[in-house]
Amino acid sequence: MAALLEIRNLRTSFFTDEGEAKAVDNVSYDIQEGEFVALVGESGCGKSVSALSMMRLVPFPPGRIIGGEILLNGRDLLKLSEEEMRGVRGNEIGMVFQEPMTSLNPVFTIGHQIAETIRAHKDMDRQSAWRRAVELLELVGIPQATDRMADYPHQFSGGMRQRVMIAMALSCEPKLVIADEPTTALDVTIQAQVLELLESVAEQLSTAVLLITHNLGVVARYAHRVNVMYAGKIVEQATADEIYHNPKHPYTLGLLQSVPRMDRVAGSRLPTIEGLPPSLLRLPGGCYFHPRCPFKVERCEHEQPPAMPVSDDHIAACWQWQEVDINDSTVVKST
Amino acid sequence: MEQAQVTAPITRIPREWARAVWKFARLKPLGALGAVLILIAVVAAIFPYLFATHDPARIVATPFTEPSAEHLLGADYAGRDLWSRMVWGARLSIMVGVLAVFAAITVATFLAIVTAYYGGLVDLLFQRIVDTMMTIPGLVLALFVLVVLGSSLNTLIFTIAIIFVPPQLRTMRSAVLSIKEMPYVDSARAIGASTLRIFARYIFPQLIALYLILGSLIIGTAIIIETSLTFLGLGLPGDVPSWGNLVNRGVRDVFNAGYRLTIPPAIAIGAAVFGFNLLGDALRDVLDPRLRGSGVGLTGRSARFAEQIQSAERGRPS
Repeated sequence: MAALLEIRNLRTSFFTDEGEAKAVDNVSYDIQEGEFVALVGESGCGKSVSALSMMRLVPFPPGRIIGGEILLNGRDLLKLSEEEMRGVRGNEIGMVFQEPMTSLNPVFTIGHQIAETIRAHKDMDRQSAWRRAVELLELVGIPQATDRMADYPHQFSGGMRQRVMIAMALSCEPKLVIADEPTTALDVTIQAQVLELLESVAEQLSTAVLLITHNLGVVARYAHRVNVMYAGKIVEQATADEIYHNPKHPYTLGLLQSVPRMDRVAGSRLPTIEGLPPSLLRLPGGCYFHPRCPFKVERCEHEQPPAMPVSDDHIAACWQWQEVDINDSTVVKST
Repeated sequence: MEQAQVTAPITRIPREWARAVWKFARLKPLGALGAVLILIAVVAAIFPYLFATHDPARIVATPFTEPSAEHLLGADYAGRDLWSRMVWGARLSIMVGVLAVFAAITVATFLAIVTAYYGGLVDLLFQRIVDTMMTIPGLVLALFVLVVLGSSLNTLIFTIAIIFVPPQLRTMRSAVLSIKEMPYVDSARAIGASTLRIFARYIFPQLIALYLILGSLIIGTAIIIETSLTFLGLGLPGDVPSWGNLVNRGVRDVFNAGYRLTIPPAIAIGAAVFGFNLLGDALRDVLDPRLRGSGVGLTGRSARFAEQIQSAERGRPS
């Protein structure tokens, strides 16, 4: 079966005064129909930019997509005209942003905004669009949906607004929804609800979801497949099960080991991966992760590791992947 | 069913408006005073024949008649009723002020949205034009334009509008610059909204408050410019009963009638300008408190102070 979305060698760079920052560097991955895929990594490693590239919304200047293919049902989005692309955005790919507090237009009622989105893409009259919007609000669990249609964004809480954003992203029944850290701005208790909702709604509408997050705890619960990004590259790609039980890239292992756990001694410091992700303007030679990597060997400093197949459905970009074992290696440092 | 719920709040609007106006009056008594002054001027401008006792263009008395019950403010050098001329003058002065300001801010807002949204070279070019125009004092620029175009009601409105476009363009641009970075503009693009739609539905509505504030604040200035130009003989033709003309004529007749013919129209100008400034200040405080202290709409000493700071920053004497 052909994938719903295939990203092939995508490269997006930001051209700054100090040089070219390769925010997305030769990234390839697939999303199957109805699949829940996670894109994981620290801040500034190119997760969001890769999502924005898919929508062709990378701020230009200074950002520009400089190569690769993004095939949605076999059609290369990078070759579409701006006009055609507008028909894709919102219609075939929906997007949920990080900041629910400010992602809705403050001067229109939410009913109006959802109905407008539907009418922008679908041939529907005002009344049926309005009815559809009410259904969507009910679907995302807004109580008294009919009444709340006439409310303005400021009358909703953050969690509610994120629900509205999800309703809006799903309003045209897109094939894919990109959720860019949809829960970072929300309370922990609401986070679970929102993700739960995203999962169940996507399943009902058989929409694929690309969840961008830095929280591996979240990923474990919802994602079918996981792509781990570091400094603009995908360093490991596997099913969620594999990632948790058999990570083969030291970075993935480090992320896993730094997730806060209930069974840790109270009062002890949280374990962390030492150092910081490198600046995209001054990347180290060889493997980008080597300065922080305890598995580092001579070769890592000079040669960039290619994606190496660990198994059929698992690749890791590490020379030393055979050494990485979840049970007896440690990447993190706890003080 | 939904329709009923949508229309329901509309019937409440008059009462809500009344309540909002009352709240504004209690919160900002000075602003309410300004609104009353403007209301008087505007009513006089729209229905001058209700208040004027005589035809403003006809000779109805002997020249320089003293004020009386028949002629409330007396008569001018030709024997025309001053009160009636003042009432009709409100129409011209308010019309020139409102139209010029409306035209200026509308053009400025439109240009600001387009240039600030696209940024880059176009934006740079427009801002340098604005810089250049702002180095020329407004009145001098206006004199120049009027001399070239000839003076009439239309050219006067056009000229005043031209003076106001650059500073308003700059203020509006800075607002657009911050609005276009708001996440909801990104999310509008992500749901496939066209650029025109983003301008009209996502950016412009956020500018309405600023639009009203700037408008009410500069109408006063526009009226002063109009009267100044008319006073200098470059505005409206001499016989047209605008406030500027009345003051101008009154000054020439000072030895025949004293200040009796000058002071009433001067007070009218002062009251109207004062009214617009008060309302503008109050509107700013209520609609967009963040603008307080930003130099938008400062008057009197604080305005001169802000002006000095700004010109010092621009590196030229004020």
